[in-house]
Amino acid sequence: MGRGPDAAMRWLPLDGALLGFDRRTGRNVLMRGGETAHLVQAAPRVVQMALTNACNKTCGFCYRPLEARSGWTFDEVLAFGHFLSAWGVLELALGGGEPTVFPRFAELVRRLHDETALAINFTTNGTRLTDALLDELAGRVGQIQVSVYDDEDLDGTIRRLVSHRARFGLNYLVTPRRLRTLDADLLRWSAMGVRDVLLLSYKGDEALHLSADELRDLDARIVRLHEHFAGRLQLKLDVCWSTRLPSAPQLFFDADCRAGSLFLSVTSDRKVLSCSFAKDGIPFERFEELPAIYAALKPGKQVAPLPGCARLPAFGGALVPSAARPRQHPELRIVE
Amino acid sequence: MALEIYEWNSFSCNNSSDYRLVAKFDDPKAAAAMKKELDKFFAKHAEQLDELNEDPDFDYDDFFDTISDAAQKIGKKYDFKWKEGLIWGDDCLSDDEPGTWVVGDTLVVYHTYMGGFGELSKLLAKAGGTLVEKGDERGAPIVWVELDLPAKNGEAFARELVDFFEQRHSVEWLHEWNTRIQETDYAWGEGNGSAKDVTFALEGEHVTFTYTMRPDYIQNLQAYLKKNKARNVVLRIATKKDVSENRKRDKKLAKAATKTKAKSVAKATKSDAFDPSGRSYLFTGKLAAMTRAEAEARAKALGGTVAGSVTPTLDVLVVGDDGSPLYGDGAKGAKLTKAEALNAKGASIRVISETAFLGLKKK
Repeated sequence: MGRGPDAAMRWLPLDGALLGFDRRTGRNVLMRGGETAHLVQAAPRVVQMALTNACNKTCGFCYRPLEARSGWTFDEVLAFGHFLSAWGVLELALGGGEPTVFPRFAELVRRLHDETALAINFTTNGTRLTDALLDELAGRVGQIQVSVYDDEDLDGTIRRLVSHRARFGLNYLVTPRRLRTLDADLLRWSAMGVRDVLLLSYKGDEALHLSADELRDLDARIVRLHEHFAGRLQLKLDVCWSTRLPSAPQLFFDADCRAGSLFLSVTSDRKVLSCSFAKDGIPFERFEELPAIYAALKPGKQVAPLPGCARLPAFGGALVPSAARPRQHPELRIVE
Repeated sequence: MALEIYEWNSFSCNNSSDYRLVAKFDDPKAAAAMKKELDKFFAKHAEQLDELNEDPDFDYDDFFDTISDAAQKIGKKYDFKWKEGLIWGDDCLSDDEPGTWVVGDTLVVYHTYMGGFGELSKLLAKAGGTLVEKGDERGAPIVWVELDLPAKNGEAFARELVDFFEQRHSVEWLHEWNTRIQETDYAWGEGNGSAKDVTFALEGEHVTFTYTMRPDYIQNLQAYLKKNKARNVVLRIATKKDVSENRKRDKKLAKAATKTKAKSVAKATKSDAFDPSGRSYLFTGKLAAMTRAEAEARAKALGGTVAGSVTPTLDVLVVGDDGSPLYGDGAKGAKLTKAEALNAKGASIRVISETAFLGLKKK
């Protein structure tokens, strides 16, 4: 529930299906059948955009190329939003770096929301989410994703978000160490009013990957946690887990992460990538070049050259039989 | 080929979950009367809005602006003009009405998801209620419980309560707790507030605790205390100020603990500080989930040792769950009685249930 300036659901053709999305509520409707078999997806559902690589933190695991210059101005981002909206994109997810350090960030979000049909989301380290900023953003943001850092006052950030009634979720990177405190963390956050936690898999060379035993442990835990929190806290998995959590109930199951198809990543130095972990972005000058770049990237299934990418054989995708297993959420409504 | 239609929310349900409204009335009778009136109003209001929603021209946003006949009627009675519609839940309002509970002279209204809640608080103020807090605070109310321990098994009962507050650290533990309690129809759930809101003080026979609890569990707590023959029970809804004062008190008690033998457990999270390694363990009663040998092996695996008898230096006495006096099922054995006697003289033997022992993890 929630008020918005427009009541219309926007529709995006997918390959063989039709997706509706209401940015006020986050409601999605997917139709798939004979009537939609002819449809072809010509725009990504979500564009992830790194506004800037600047950040007020220096985390060892951050994958952003700090050397990349920021190629966006306020007016350009706004114009880009207008373009994406007209192209048919449903959501714009702003990130960084730390997006809130981008000049006139609140005004930018406000204008993107008011002037386009996009849902505007952003991912932040939470350190700059002041009362004043949250007041300015009220009603204009689809969802705020707060990354969980052990060295920040996360409790304070959560309390502030809850007291502002902001729609937010937490991004929780599951490492071997964090696996031990997962239950306790979720119970505590749920009690504090958190309703959405995205479990992120690690991408990188360091020893932060879960072992086979730890993956099995996480898989079993998710089943129990899902049952325990039903209706109160939504657990989400990032697409990079792919087939590595076979028991975890999922809304839809697709062995491929659909990077470059369902979503597209745009860097702060104006390059397009299948996902934010991929390398060798395609530079663009004019926004109008994007549909052609999208059409080229979509079938290519670009692989991120980092251990953890679902398209690498050891991490899921390539090991899966072609017939994807349907694993539907038990509460999913299917209407025929 | 049939057309499949899937619906889901990619945003979580709105984080504005858990609305509570706490209002005090002149006396318990007035609070009960208001509860009755609100229940009736919610049902009628839901019925009328759901009926309107059947009309295809009724837009989503209309919910926010629609003042039902029922709302107008109750508004008129209390000279209150609604400025915003009252809605809750997702699809239908009927059969999902806000819950109402009366604790003494205090009325609690609660729903996980509401719009127009501020308006409802103004209505209650017009109807003679004094809002205990701001009116539409978030989360479940903080329950204040004050009681004297039961005459016979007071210590064990107190420790059972401490167990609950201290060990909210795994889903499995909560499930076990609830399963056990539900067998006697007293589900507590896991509470719905921050562990930081919990205070617990034990002074001699007198226990005071505050706990953030979903309102629908309050009556279960009342029944649980009654079943355990807790004496002089005072149950009321606490304010945040109460909790803040309790924290200060707990700190003082903790400081004085070594002199007065009083014990204070300030936070549920405090159990994180309990390191099971290096402790001496002793088992008593009938174990339900393992053999004595398995239990002893587990104690060693935790980095502990197994003691031969109850002495003042014993760290942990584990009471088997099968017919456990901790659950009011059986009589206390000699070891438990001795441990309690030693504790009364100043020892610090931690008496825990078998379930709690199984929940211990090596740090």
